[in-house]
Amino acid sequence: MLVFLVKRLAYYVVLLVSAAFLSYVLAAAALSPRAYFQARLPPPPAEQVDRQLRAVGLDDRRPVTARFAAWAGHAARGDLGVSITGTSVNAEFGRRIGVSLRLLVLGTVLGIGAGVAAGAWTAVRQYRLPDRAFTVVAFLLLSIPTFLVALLLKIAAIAVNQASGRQLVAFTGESTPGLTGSTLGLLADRAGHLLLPTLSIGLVAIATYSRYQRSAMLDVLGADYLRTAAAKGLSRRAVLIKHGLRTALIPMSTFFSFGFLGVLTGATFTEKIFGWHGMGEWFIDSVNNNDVNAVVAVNLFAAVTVLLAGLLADVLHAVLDPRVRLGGRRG
Amino acid sequence: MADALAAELADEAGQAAPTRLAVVAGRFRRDRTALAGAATVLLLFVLAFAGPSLTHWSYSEIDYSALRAGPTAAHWWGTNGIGQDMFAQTVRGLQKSLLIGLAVAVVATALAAAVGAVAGYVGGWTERALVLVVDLLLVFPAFLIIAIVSPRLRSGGWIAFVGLLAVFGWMVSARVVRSLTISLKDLPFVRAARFMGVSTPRIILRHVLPSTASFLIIDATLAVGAAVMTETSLSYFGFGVQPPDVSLGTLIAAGTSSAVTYPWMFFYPAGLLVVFVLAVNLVGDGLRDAVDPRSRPLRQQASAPHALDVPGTGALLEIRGLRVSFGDGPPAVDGIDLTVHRGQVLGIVGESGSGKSVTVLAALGLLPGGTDISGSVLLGGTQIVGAGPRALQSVRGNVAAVVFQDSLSALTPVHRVGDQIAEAVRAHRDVSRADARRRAVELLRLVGIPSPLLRARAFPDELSGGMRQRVMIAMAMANDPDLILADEPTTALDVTVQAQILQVLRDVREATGAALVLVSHDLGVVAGIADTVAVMRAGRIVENASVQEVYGSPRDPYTRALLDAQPRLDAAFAPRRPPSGPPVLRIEGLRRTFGVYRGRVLPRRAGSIHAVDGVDLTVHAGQTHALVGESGSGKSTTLLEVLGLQPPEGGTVELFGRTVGPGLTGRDRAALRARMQLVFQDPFASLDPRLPVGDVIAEPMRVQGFAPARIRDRITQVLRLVGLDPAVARRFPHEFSGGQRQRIAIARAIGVEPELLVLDEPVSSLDVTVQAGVLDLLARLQAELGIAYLFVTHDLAVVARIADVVSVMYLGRTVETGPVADVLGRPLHPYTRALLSAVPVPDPLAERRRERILLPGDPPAADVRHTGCRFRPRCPLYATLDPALRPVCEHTEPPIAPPGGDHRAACHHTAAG
Repeated sequence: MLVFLVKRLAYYVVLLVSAAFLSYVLAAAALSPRAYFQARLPPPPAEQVDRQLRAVGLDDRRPVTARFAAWAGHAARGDLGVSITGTSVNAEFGRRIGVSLRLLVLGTVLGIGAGVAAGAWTAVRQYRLPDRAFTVVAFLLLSIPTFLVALLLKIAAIAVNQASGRQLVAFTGESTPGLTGSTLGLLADRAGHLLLPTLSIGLVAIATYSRYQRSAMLDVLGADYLRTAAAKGLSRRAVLIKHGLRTALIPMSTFFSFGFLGVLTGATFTEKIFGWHGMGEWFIDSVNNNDVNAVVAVNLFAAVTVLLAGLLADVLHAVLDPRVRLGGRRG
Repeated sequence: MADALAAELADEAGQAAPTRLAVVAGRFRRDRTALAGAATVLLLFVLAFAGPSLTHWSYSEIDYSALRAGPTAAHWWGTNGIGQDMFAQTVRGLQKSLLIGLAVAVVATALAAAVGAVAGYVGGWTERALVLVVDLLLVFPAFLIIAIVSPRLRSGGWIAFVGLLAVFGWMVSARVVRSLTISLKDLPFVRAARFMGVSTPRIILRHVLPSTASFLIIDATLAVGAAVMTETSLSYFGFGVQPPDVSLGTLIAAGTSSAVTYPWMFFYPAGLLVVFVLAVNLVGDGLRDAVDPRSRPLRQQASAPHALDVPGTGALLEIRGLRVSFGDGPPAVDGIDLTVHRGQVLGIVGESGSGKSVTVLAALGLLPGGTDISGSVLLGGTQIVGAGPRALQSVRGNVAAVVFQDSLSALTPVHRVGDQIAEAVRAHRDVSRADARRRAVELLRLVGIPSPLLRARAFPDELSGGMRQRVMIAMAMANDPDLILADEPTTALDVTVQAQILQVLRDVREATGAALVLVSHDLGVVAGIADTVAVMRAGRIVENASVQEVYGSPRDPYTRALLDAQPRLDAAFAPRRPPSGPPVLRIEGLRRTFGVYRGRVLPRRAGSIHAVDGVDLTVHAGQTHALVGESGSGKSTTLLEVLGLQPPEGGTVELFGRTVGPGLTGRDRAALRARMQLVFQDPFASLDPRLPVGDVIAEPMRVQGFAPARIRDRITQVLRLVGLDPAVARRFPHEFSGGQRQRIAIARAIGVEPELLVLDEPVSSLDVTVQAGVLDLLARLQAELGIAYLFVTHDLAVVARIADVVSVMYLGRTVETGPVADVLGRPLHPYTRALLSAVPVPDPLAERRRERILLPGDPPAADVRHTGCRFRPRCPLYATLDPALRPVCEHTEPPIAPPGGDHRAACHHTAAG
């Protein structure tokens, strides 16, 4: 199994480097930082713009490959360059990464945990009331783009706050600015602010994962080995969970990495809508500012997290499916 | 023959069934949510495109008198911040979003289909490149890339935008199309098309893509919803559609700030978006269900199981008046009575659909919910029909245990076999885990598995079929049950392994004194072990008596028909014609090795499989030459080598006097194909389900360039030749039974008037009575048309019935060849002797009296090269040889001797034994 994982890791590193190159070239070609520096009144002279561009490594007179090589050289040493606004990309990265990770991890954990449970349960009760009710809700959620879910939750919160006359549900930012008090109180405040954004991501994730799990579970429910387990005299619960769910979880591990893409996209929108200062908000702002270095840094973050999710999915798959570990020897 | 044909027609309803499209459409129509979705989608399209003409406001027109006005008669949906009519704006936005969604879905699906199918079918570096590109593009969410590039697209308008969305949309679908194609590539009907000489693009267009069509349609439908969602998300953040152009996304963005105060500016576009995507998803899901319906539990426990109150007589298993039915068709079991006493062996025989497996399942209450069961099943005094879960749990695995047929699917793939046996122990006994595991190892030893401690930690798919079946028997024995129910326990096994497993069952019976119910379609298997035999047909027991009576003097005509139809080894051999004329096929020293590759991106060779390692055979005109062997013998690979018409890796292949070598041109191959055709094993998979029978039969003729008029006549001719009504040409393969489909496959093969027919296990998956009919047809066609047959089979009894010459293969080599009467009557090679000894004969006395030669172990895998004779590790003769005679077996590969003789074998000691 170790060999298998190491090989996957090597493959992912190759992908990462190619992805970095791809996003750098795209960003350099599509965005024009020159416009950012030129858009002032009065318009500055060309040499000044050139100097400013060179200072951030975005001189568009140099060939793209040379610029990428320079950037990559710095990046390999841990320096992601300078943002177009003059701040260090590394510093901004560090400030924002924690924010995004909190949201991503919570959303994923919620989505998978609740999704798998819901999917398995509705599969066992196929076509009965709980299944039908849950299917309706899941379908509805899957038909609403994540940004709209976030918006609707926000609107609902505003309406509730207005109706009650107090700030019942806080949703802007990670915490109430300027709040003091006990650690518990601060934690509670943070938890309250976490609620809506996590729900926005989590609800759609739950809907997605539960549909996949239900499908996988249904495939398993008709299998012969469940019948054998029952024929041994095991209780229905043992048959469904120890033999059924255990086997149905295997295909889910491959969906995990696909599903994570959805969570990442959702988190990007959610941050912007709820005013969380994370990577997603930074990305949207950077594109609008033609900030190539920042855009590439965010892409790198996205690529790394997706690949990590992929690696995790591979580990999960190997853990859940012993046949993968052994490479299929025949006796 | 007429009876056999009647038997075939009898097991087929016979009415013209509707086409697949009609069936799918019917299912969709009955699905109310899907219909609602479809209606909604239609309505929205009408709204989007007819909407602008419904109102006199244009979307950009400004009404200064009504800013942020709520819905009124003048402005149906109110106005926005600058006085534009919301209805006109929303309808226009809907139009734009719908168009984008549709365009993206169509382009993405077309791309996915084309690239996925080509990559999957052609394989090689195109496939690897596709996998790499897809992996690379999947590393980030599409949103990021599109957002970056969108500023540049502002000049290109929304068409470039569509292109970009499509480029990201096709990837995941392409991967799925690729894996679908890969699994389709090996389906018999695609392989058949390849062998008939159909060109690759034509195969992809005609056979592969239509089979992926259902996936593609569903995928395209869902892609519309996904594309609209992506577009609105992008437009919301300013990356997609740009003002003054209007889409649902831009409208939602504009209306967000006023959502609470002026809700109509937000909720109309948002609501329409959600309704559209929901409707599209419902349609897509409905299509998926219509194309591939999950078996719905018909009605959950429609009628409560009706248990007859019958007093027990102390027998172990008493079934009275058992009736089982699934849904609206005829009952699977229609009122049967059976009794099994302690220590008795009951054999249940019947063909497919007779209800014998259902009976076994009913005995332990293992039928799926929603089945109608009535009657009485008393197992050890407990009433099973209608019993609660606790009563069933205490009985299952304890009083009675089951051994299922297909052990690969019957064992949970992710738990070790030792753990699964231990689980059975702990279900009924209060023992520690360690003790349960110890008992599991002991049980494995009892059923004859070598190194049981090691094997207990194996997973089911690491074991061979024979080993797995031993594991299942061990699991059944775990709690010393009084009754073991074995449902076709040896059907999926090689004949020598079958003999081993039957011996294991006998040993287990002797050791534990358990009663045994053995279900099989093979009369020979049952003859050797049963005390009483019940013959089932269409859910009823037609005969139930002692084994001598059933086999010696059967009372029911059906039993007699079964016994007659079963091919027997000990039947008298009809005098065979001597070979006449030149050989149509001559193979000498054929060799074929496969590499075993590890690694996905950069595969390297990790070993070789010597599938064919020295095969010699000659087929003369008008003769039937059978090729016999077990799994791993290489007989199917030999066949594929002959059909492939490529220069062999080693040895020579001569077809109709022409050597198959590097000098063979495409035209030569086409000419050879005109004279050689094939019939595959599986009649359900060797005919493309999407083509009507006439097209299926016409395909080889089309490849050979026959004129359409000639093809039409020939179709009628061959259908009559195989005993089918020419009108069936318009119907579809799925409307016919297995035997009829095999006849259609034979008709397809003889359409071009070949001189050689290559058949790969053509009757193995057919019921015994149907089998007899097809074999008779083949014999008749040979007599009338003078076709030669190369007939691959594992069933020696079939060989006895139809072949003139037989070659026995072991581990890639022909080890004995000769006229059928000689090889089967006076076998020279010890393997042939063991094979013959293993074949069960439907004669109870003879079966019990026979001396069995049991080969140890399983048929070997072909990845190890041997020194000396390759049969030596399992050879019963070698085991009893004088030590002085052994070395030659260890060092020298035995040549086929006597060379040039009629009856030859590859053994150093043919005279002995």
